Amino acid sequence: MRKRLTIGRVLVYIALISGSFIMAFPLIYSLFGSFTDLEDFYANPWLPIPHKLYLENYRVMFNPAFGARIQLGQWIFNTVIRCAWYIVIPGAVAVLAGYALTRLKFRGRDLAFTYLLSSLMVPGIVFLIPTYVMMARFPGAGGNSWWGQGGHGFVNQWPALLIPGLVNVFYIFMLRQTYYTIPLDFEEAARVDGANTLQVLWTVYLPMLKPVLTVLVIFQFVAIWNDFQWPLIVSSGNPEIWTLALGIQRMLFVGAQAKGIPQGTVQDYPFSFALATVAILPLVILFLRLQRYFVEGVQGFALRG
Amino acid sequence: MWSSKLSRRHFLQASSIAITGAALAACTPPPVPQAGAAGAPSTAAVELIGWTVHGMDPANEQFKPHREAVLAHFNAKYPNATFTHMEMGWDEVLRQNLVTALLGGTPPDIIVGENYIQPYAEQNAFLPMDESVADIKSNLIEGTYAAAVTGGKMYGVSQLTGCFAFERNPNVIEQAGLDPDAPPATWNELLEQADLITKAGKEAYYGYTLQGPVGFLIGGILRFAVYSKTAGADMSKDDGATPWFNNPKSEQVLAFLRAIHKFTPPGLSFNPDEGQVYTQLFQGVSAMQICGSWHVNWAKDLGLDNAKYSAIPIPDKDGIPATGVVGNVILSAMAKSKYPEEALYFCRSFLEDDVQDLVYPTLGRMPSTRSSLERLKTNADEANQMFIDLLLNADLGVLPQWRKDPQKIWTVYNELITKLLTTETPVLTLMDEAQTAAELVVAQAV
Amino acid sequence: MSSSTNEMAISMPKTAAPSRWTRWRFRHRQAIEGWLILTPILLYYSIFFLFPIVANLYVSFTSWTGVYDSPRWVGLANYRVYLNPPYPLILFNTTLFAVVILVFQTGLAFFIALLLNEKVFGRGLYRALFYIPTLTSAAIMAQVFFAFVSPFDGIFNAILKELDRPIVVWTISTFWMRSFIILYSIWRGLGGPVVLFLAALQGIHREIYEAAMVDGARGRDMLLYITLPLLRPMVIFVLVTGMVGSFQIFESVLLISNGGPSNTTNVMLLQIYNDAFVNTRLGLAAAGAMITGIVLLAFSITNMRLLSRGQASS
Repeated sequence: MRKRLTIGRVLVYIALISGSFIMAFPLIYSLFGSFTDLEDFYANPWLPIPHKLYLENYRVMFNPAFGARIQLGQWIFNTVIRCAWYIVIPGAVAVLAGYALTRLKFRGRDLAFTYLLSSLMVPGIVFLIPTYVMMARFPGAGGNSWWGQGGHGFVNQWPALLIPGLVNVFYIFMLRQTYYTIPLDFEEAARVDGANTLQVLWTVYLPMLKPVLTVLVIFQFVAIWNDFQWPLIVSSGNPEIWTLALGIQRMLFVGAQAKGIPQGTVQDYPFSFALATVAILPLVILFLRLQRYFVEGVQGFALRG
Repeated sequence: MWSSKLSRRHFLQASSIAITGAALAACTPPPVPQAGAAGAPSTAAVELIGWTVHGMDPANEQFKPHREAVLAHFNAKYPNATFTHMEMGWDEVLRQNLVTALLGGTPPDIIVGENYIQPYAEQNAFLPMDESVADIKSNLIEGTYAAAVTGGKMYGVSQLTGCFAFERNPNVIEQAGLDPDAPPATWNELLEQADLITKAGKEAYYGYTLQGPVGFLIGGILRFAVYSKTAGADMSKDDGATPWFNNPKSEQVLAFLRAIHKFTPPGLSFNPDEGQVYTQLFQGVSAMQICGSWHVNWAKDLGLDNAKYSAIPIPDKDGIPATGVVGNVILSAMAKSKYPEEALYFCRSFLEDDVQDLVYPTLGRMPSTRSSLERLKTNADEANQMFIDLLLNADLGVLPQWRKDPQKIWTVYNELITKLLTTETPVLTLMDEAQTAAELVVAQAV
Repeated sequence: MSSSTNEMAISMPKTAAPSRWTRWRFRHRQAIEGWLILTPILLYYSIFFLFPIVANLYVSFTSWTGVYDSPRWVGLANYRVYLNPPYPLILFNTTLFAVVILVFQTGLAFFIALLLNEKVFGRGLYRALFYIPTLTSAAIMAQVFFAFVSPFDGIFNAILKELDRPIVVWTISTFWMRSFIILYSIWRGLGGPVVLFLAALQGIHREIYEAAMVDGARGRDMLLYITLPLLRPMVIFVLVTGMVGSFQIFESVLLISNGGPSNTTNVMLLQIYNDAFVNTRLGLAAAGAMITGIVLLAFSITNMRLLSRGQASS
């Protein structure tokens, strides 16, 4: 159907194009900047335009003489494992907890939910140090006695990257809301057929929860992919288990050291941009390919939630 | 979208990854072997862990000669000891890691730092080093380890260092019609030259770059401290514990800063990005600035090949040749280390002549012992000679390390400078205001 | 669910009479299942969430540097510090940012969703472009954004210079730094609400609009009386979830303005971080975290109240 080209539509296009340009500009800036050397970068404030194709920023990442053992492959692998773990477990927990909090009736149910909700109000930094101490003083691990003294616990080992955060109250909340929008008939029908709870969950609810679970998967994937503060504190000493975000931050530190510049003074921006591009590229590609699923998921959630 | 078959496969894939992950977790050997029961160190299997120790990262080929030299000395006395390097960041990141580790009971044996040594030393976090370096102490430059001295004792040694000098872009100076080979020696000369250059520049270039106040960052403050040192004006009392922002001697320093600020590119002084501030000189927008020793290579990277270096201008009356220590990495041994003797000796190994001689070639920074600097001087190029000269002969100023709430106290100081540069309020008034505010912060420290 | 209970009772195999234990288990099966699921979750939660909160509460009443010393009880002293400058300003900044960011972000997202809802060519691309900033790493993007506002050489000033106007020193201006931080946060957070609103808009059947048009309604009426009311649930969801996030901006303030000219862009999270790791005052930091939690709780409750009142009336 052809639409008339009215002033209104022209304005709409102008707004959208300029809006998206503004949204994209910092990213374009960053992409261009990653291909410049220092001279070119400071030469033009509007947009760092590489006058020569300068791949050094990317090349150093693969140059072992440069510094930090740069193992992008290892880091991506570690990050993917963490993402998968943190999608499956908190997801399963949310599905089960949502079910228990909505479909089952028992005393103390709502109290339990309120109890869980309380943590959302507190800033994340509160959990940082206590969780670290718990990982470091985990009884019996990493040289610790049964009282947790003497060794280093799970610090610098995989469990520290996998144990905290398995219960995500926000997702439990989200799932709970979604359960409320699903009529009870489906479950009742399955029960009549003699299904037990696990089967009910698997065959009845899981398909219906797909939209919200899609949203959960994407949010969680992005969050864990970009998570660097926790791995920084708890796994800095073991490069084998670094995640991508941490590895990239590490390259930033070491870059300055290798150039003889005291850390924290001068930023090598083009190099930072190159690192940023490497960090975000997989996410962008993933998003573009999965956009359809994501939007369908969000739509489903939006309509029912 | 998904059929239930697909989602089952997905689930199986996901769980298999998870299981692999868990298996990986079980199989990964701990990189840090168990430290054993607390108690007397055995002669076998001593392992020291050090954080962010410069030049000791085994993954960095460039550092190899330095690393091997240090270990050679260390192992000469403790043949069975090993050293494990962990890169734990710098500044806030390192501090965050340190605080978390101290609380979690997993601190390292050796740590580096630049400006939080004194407060931690007073909390008995570090081992005193006076005895272990007693015989070579005269070879150390006092200004480089002054930041680790408190209560009369030394709690760290400087592994490598750097200082400030004065940098000029001769192209700009020539363009303005002045002699590029005549650096200003005093503040009045500096002001005159800056004035002439700025007038000649007609907004294309300016006489001076001043790195100004930003939030609670200390980049600009480090440079103000340099000028303060040349005027003999201390910013603090009691080894850097108490702020003294209304030191009468500071008045002329602040007046000078206010004056020179008029000859700087508008807006540059408040730029939080230190890199951008100092690169203006390299791009010919400014003629003179205070610089750190890393500017030598940095300028060349950005296309300025003939930058000139000289001593920092001093006040016309009662000025002392001085500079500030910057990029000074202090090595300390943690008090609760399981191997205190080994830790102390390890720190000392960095001060041996052959190790110090490798600091410049492999790390690009300045060594901190007299003998090594003298040797370096004979081969250094003109630019670096200036820095070495200053390290050896000038008065070395060190930034005070406030014991509590350093971030808040520096914010007070930055506010003082902001008002100084943007208003015409009398300097003495501003100084008193700042002192009152600083004292309030100290008093509030619970 | 009595009908299903009866059905269940009828479908049970008729073997020997069930024992009391079996019957008890049957009657309480929902509770058993419920607690079976919830107990490990609540246990985990108590260890990893409740314990830190309680520990934090305890520490907030102590003075502690964390360097080989023990916490020393000081009662409410840390909280009293929050009565003195610069803390009230910091609290004000935090609230200001939270509210302004939330309101403008939601409003703008709504507007953009409306635009995208028109049959525009390349909608998917626009939508992606609006969403990608949300995927980026906050720390690195903050540094890119700094390039705009850098007082000497930044893009804004370069534009001003091209237009022959005097430059503005953005970083010492309270108004500009606050505005810029707000703009940056909106930039980052816009994607989510845009996608959500767009999805909700696309769920409204076209017939409703067509029927209204037949009745003579014009564009503005349709917006006010059809679109907005139907979108209310989504607006509520976006506001509630956005509140928690906008109270906790951190990287942008740290990297772009560093607490800004004289603490005017200093926010709670930044100050807490500084108090803990730079000022070595863990007790003060803990008190700050508690205060932030309380303020956030107050806002959330107010939010809920307002929204449920609106819900009841619509």
